[in-house]
Amino acid sequence: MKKLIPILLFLNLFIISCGQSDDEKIDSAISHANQLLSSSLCADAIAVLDGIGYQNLNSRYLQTYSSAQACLAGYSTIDFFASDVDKIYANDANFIGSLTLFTTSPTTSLTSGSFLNLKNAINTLLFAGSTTSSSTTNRRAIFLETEIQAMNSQLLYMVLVQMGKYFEYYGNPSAAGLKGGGAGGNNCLADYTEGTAPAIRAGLGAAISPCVADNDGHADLDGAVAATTRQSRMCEGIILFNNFTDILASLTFTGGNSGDIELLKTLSDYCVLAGLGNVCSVKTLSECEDTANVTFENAQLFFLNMFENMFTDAAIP
Amino acid sequence: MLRISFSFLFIFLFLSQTVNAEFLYFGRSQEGLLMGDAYTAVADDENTMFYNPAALARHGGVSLTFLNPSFTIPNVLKTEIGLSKFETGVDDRFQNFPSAPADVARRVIGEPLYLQIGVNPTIKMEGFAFQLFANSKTDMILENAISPVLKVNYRYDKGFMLGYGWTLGKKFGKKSKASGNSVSLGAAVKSVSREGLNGRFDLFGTQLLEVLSNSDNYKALREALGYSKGSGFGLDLGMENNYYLDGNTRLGMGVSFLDVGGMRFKKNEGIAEIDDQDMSVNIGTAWQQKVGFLDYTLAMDYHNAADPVGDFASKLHIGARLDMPVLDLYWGWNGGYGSFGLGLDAFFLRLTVGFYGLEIGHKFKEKEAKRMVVQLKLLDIHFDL
Repeated sequence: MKKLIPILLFLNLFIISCGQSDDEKIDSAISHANQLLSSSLCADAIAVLDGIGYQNLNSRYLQTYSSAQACLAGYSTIDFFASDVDKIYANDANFIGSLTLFTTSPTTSLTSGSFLNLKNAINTLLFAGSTTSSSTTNRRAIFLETEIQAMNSQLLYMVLVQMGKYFEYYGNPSAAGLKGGGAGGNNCLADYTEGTAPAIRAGLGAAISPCVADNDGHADLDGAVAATTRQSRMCEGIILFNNFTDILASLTFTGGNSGDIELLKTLSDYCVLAGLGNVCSVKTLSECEDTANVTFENAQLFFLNMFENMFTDAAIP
Repeated sequence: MLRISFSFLFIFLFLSQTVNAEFLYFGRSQEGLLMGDAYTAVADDENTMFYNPAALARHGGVSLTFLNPSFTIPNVLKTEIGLSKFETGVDDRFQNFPSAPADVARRVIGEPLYLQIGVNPTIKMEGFAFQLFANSKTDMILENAISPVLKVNYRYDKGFMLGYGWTLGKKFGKKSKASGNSVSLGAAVKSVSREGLNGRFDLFGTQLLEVLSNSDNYKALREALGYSKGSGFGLDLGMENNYYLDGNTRLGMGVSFLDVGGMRFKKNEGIAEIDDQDMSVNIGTAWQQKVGFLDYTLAMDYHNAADPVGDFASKLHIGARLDMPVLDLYWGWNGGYGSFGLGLDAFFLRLTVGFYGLEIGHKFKEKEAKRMVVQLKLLDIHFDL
């Protein structure tokens, strides 16, 4: 029996390892968070992920964290595909109007939990790897292509939903997604009173109907609001759209449920053709707000040439 | 000395590697599962080596199990038992199943889908055992209602095991009417071929869509999803202490170290890595007594003791078995979830049917997987020497 003791001691030493490795802890936390998100236990999932420290280089962790933040916003990709993806109208005449038809679009405030939490979820993936300037190119320098595809797929749907909220708020759409048809009173997204904006607006004419006046924008983008504040609010929409086209260009879609998303890849060309400079490619809010990078006039021209053009009172089939 | 030995066990109870959610063993006894999987100190069927090779030392005579196919599927039944009612039917989750993809996703999200098919013909001669096994397990779950992720774990293990259990000193048991204590040790080696895939796929991502549209056949599809194949060897060790009272009563305590040091597989085919088989350390105790034509067993297990993060209560297993001439009844508590079933004997045939639940969450009683098990043993023969 005395011989058993060294045998057992040896066995104990042999099988003792150093506990759970860091990778195992991270995998376990991600798995646990996904399980909690199956029951939409958003805060619990975030707590589990926070418990192991923010893993900025782990794409699975970031996707799960983003899901948990989107959960707080009431977002679900299942609901998006079940109810809304087929509403996307892949025609520049009223692509943006179709986004306001999403069941998630009705928005009373862009400081609501729903909008801000989804914004956080989007930013978690846009700035994955601690990139300070959002772009697929920058993220590709840090993550594998398969990870980029996975993150960008998840981003795409959230960005579409967020754009729906943004333009529903500013565009005063009717129940059919027609700009200016709601009870808000404005027929334009913003006032266009600075620099060449009035002339450009007039030149676009019926193409941006019903926006036929320079000062018929939403109260939050009214000429009475300070220019820096207006630019900041406009930049929220600009970077959403530019990130949308950037993400779209990186993905390849097949299958019926993808709707007309694949057909939207050419939308960003209009900005370049209009010769608007940096505003066509800026994808980070701080870079857009920097007037040395994006002038207030160019922000307005972007709104006119892109958003007002793709958000009209033309009927959506 | 045994106190010292077991005290060392507890040194590493809080160390070593970990698993989360369900620990996947090579094999489990269907009878054991219906006893709450409290089987480490019982292990008296053909599945002894899956639990504790030292239990082979208790075996006497020759036992042959030629064919014992078993199936485990999700429990689709709903049972309500009350003082004045007993109702059973198909669970609401599986009734009026939707057809639209989004509705299907909403219905199945968070629900584990499990299919196990296995067979392990065995020969035991006194303390020696040789077993062939082939076990296929498919575990699928769609998680995360916000950005759904489909987790698929398919593994097909086949191979053989060779084990021996021996008693140190005098052997007591059914043949000997004397009372006394005996210590047994056991060891088993196994050669396993494992094939399968273990992956996570974003349900609405482009990867899965691309794989499905670019794969012409089943083989191309499984390779694209990460299928691989490999082989490896493993070692199991066990120890058991039994106190016998007049040949009819046994109080046993056992500890087993399955897949000592973990089992690695050398890849023969495929690109993705093959899942290692983690080591498990299981401790059990059992009280068995024969009263007239009845045998009853009460058992309690603690496993996997090598997991440092799982809740204590999730690792606790309690079971009971009532062994009658034709009918056996099983009951158990499997880390927080109940199990029950019965076994029917008819000549060389034995049918075991039952239900059990087990933890697939990360905390005690967080998420239950409900399963149904059926096993049919054909030509299950025993004779004493």
